[in-house]
Amino acid sequence: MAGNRSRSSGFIPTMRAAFLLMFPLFLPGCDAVPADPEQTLARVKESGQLRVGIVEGTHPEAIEGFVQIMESKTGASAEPGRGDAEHLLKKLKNGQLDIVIGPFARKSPWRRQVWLSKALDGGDPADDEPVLRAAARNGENRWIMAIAETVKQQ
Amino acid sequence: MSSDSGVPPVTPPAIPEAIAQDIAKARRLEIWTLLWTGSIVLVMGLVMGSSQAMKSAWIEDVLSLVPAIVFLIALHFEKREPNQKFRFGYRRVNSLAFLIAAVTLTGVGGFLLFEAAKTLLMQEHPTIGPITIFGHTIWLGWLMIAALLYSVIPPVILGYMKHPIAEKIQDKVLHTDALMQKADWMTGLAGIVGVMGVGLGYWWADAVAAGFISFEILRDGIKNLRIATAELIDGMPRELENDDIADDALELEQALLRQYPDAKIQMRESGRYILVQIGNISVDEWRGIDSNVLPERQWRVDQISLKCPTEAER
Repeated sequence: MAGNRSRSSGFIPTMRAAFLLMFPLFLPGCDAVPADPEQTLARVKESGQLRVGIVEGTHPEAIEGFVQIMESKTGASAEPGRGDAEHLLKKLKNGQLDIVIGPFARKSPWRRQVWLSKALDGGDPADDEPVLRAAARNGENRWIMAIAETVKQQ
Repeated sequence: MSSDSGVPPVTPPAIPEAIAQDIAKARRLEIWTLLWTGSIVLVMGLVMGSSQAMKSAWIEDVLSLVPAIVFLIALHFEKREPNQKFRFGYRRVNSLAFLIAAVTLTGVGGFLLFEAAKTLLMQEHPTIGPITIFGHTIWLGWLMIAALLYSVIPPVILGYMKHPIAEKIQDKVLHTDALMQKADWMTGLAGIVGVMGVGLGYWWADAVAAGFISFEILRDGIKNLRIATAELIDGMPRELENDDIADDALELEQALLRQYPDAKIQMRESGRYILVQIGNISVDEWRGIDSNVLPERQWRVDQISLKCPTEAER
């Protein structure tokens, strides 16, 4: 009769298999994590070029400190280029720029397309107030960590 | 007219003595499920970020509350006595709850598959950035993995405890809930694989991990949906785990045919109970049912009706 059969016989082996399959994921250790799928940080360090897009109207002195720290952190020289936000962020998404700096609100429509840092001046503005922020390509998590650390150091 | 004015109950006391203790255990387990899953939803919501696997795991956790909630509601009704408006009582609320639980499980599987396919097709690179805690900036992925590990443990234990009780009380809602717990811990493990994969630079890991487990959940959901539908359209009682006719129903049918070889046996399921209709037999021939039939599960036979032949059958 049905009551004599074990209903959960496959349960423990499935759990064991699941944990064993996950184990190799943890072998690389903490240093390799997070990594950039498109190798942005490695490319900036190797090429010595930091391709920076600056949104028109941004005062150079407002971002000077941030760019200098990024340069010393990566050992690369900034190659700034100016343009409108739409144009620059599209280039960032396509991997033609490494970073874009300009006035963006925390709830900017671009926030799903690119990663936006905290305010460069360290303030905590309202969600819809545009302030200077750095933007990076989505998913480049090591590069994003490096930018976030620089914003914090400022 | 008052809703219960002078109507004699046509069904025995709501919960049979033989399973009363197990039903109380199941009720306690479901209350624990609501508490644990509620805490998991809270912890996961705090560290969700923009990882697709994390979001999927969170939505899956929220939806996984549904079977436990409908089980408790169904049980609340099942204990009620029959009344003027519901003369068979409320035992069939369990069938309705089972359909809701099965639809939810199927929905969870479908949702996970859709989200995973969308992420892969759109090539969305999940960003898991930094978070600052007590002045230290760390990768949010580590917190996500800790939250996901927490989300895996309670469903493993609760699911393991629910399986044998669901079997004893023949409760398909509780069984579906145990499957939902399996979906919970599988989604949690897939989330860990996904977040770790993203951490290692494999943007697709998140979606592939969620996609793989979505098939298993969808399969369980559709299987349960078929059983729930069969129950609602008066199909033969089904097994808890698949769409086959339940062994105890077949055993009962054979026993009845041994006693009444010319009888025409029809059976259907109402919640956890079996309703039997016997045709082609006169009232004078009826000598009751052999007491050795279904020694462990006699409580499951709720009604035996003798069917009078219609004019056409005379």
